[in-house]
Amino acid sequence: MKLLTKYSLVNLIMMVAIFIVSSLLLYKFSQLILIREMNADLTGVQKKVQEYVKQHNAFPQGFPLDEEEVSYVSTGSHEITRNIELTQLFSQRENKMHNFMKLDFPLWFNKNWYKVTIAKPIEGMHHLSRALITISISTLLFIILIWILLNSLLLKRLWSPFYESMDIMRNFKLGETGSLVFPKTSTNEFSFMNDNLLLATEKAKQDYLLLKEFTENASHEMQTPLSIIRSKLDMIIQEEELSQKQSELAKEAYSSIKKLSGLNKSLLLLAKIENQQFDNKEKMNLTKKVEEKIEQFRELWQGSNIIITSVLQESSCFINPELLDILLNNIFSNASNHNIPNGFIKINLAKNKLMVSNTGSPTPLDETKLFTRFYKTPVNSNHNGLGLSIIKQIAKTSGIDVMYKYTENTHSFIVSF
Amino acid sequence: MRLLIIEDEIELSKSICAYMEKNNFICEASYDFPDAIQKIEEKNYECILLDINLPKGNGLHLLKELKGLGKSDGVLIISAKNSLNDKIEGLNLGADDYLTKPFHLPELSARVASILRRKYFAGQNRVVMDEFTIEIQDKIVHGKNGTIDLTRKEYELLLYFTANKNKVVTKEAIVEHLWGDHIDMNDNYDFIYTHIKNLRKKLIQNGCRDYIKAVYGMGYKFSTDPDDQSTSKT
Repeated sequence: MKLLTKYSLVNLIMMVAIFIVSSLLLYKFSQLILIREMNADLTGVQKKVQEYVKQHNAFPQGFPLDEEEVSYVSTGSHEITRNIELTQLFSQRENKMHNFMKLDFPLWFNKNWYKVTIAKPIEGMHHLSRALITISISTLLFIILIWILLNSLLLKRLWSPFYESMDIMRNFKLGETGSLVFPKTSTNEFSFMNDNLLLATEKAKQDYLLLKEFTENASHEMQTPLSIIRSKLDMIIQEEELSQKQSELAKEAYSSIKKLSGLNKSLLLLAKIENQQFDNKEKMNLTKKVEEKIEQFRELWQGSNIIITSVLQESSCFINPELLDILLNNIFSNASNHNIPNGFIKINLAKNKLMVSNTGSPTPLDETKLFTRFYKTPVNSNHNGLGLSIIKQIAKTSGIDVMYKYTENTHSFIVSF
Repeated sequence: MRLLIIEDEIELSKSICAYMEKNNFICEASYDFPDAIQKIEEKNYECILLDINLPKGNGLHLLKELKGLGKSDGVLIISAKNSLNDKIEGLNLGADDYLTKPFHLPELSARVASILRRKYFAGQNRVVMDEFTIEIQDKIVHGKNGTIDLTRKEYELLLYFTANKNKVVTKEAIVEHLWGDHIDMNDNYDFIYTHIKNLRKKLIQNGCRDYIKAVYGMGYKFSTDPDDQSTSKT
C-alpha cells in the first residue's frame, strides 16, 4: 500500500470517528438544551394558570392558537405531585400519536385538588436531529471528496520527485559512464535523499572501476610469469635425458598452465567487453559464420563420437565480428565439453534465432546461477566457469538474448539476435 | 640468421634465446628501450622480436624508429596485451606479425620462420629438407617419388614441424597452432592423432624416413637425425 494511501486511510478513519462522535454530542447537547428550554416554558405556563385561577377564580380557556394543550382533572382530596415527562400522546390536530412534553401539577380550586396537565408537542426535536445528521454526513462526504482530490493532485505532485529519483535508480547500471542526474526539488527530505543516492552510486561506481582495473591489471601482470613458466617447460622437454616420469610431470604442469592462461584470458576478455572495447558492429552473415564454426569443430566432435546435425536457414545480424566469433566458439565448446560419449549436438539456425542443443548430464542446470562467473556443475569441474558469463556479457553489450532450456536430457541454449 | 630479442623479462628472453639458438639463430638480447634503439641503429637483424611494454619506452615507438631508419628487418611483436587495436597499430606500423603472451616457443619459432620466408625468399619461397621440399606459394610438397598429396591440416602440420626440427612440441602447442586457441578443448587432444598418423604414413609411402616420433604421449618430435631412436616411445 502506498504511503499516501495509508496516511489518507488513517486520516479518513479518524475523521469519520470524530464526526460521528461530535454529531452525537451535538445532538445530545441540543436535545438537553431544548428540553430545559421546554421545561422553562411549561413552568411559565404553570405560573400563568395559577395566577389566572387566583385572579379570576376560574380555569383559563384554551386559546385556539396556543401550542399547549391544557386539561384539568379533579382528584378530590388527593394532591398529586408535580411531574414533567416526555411522552407519546394523541395529537388531535394531526390525528396521530406524537411526542409531547407533559407537565402535571396540583391546583387547589373550589375546595378540591385538581390535576392540571399541560402538554406541548416537541415536533422540532425530530427536525433538529434530522438536520444535524444530514449536515454531518454531507460535510463528511464533502471532506472525503476534497481529500481524494487533494491526494490525487497535490500530494502526487509533492511526491513526484521521489518517484522520479526511484525511476533513475532503477535504470542505474554499474559500468555505465556519466553521473546520475536527479531532478531538482525544493523538498528538503527529497533533496537529502537524492544527495545520498548520488553519493552511494558514485561510490559504487568508483569501487566497481577500481575492481575492474584490478582484474585487468592482475590478468596482465600474470601473463608475463605465465609466459616464462611455459617457455621454461618448452625448454625442459627438449632435454635428451628426460624420463617418462618427468615427461608426465611436465605434461601436468602444461595442462595447469593452459588452464591458468585460459582463465586469465577469459577475465581479460570479460573486462574488455565490459569496457565496451568491441563497439564497432557490422552486418554479419550468420549462416556462413555458423557453417564455418561447425567445420572448425567437426574434427573435435568426430574425435568424441558426437553426432552432429544442423539445419541452417538464411540469417544475418548486426554485431561485432570478434564478439560473434567468441560467442559461437563458447556456445559450441560448451555443447561439446559438457556432452556425453556418443551423444549428439543439434544446431538449428532459424531467422535471427540460433538454438544449440546437446546431450549431457541428466539434471537441468541451475538457471539462476548458470550465467554467473565461476559457475560449475559438480560433474564437470575441468572448466574455469567463465564461458557462459562471457556469452551473457556479449549478449548484454550486443543487445541479443540468451536463454537456457532443459528437456529430457537435452540442454539447449537459444540465442535470439 | 641474426635475431634480436627486445624483451624486458630476462628469463623469458633467455628461454627464447636458448630455443632459437638450437634453430641456428644467433640471438642478441636487449632489455630496455635505449639499448634496443642503439642495437637497431648499429646492426641489421633478419628478425626482431619486440615487446610493446618496455622500460623507458614503448615498443611501438621503437618500431616507428626502425621504419624511419629505412630498415627492413622482420618484426614480430610479442605482447601481453591481446588488444586488437595494438595489433592493428603494430601491423600498420610495419610489423610482420603479432603474438600474444603466453605463447609456446614452437609457435614463436613457426612465426619467425614464416616471416623470414616471406621477407627473404619471396619468389622461390620454399622449405627444403633432405628428402622433401615444401613449396610455400603453391602449398605443395614434393618428395622423392613425386608430389605428396596432403590435406590442409597435414600440410600446416608439416610446415610447423619443419620450423621446429628436432624439438619436442606438445600436442597442446600443435592444436593451438592448427585450430587457434579460442576453442576450449577440455584437454582432449586425441583428435590430432589422426592427422599425425596420416602425415607420417604419407611421408613413409613416398620413401621418406619416419620423421615423426611420439614422445611419452606428451607430444611429438620431428627428427631429422636418422639414428634418433631415443624418443620413439608412445
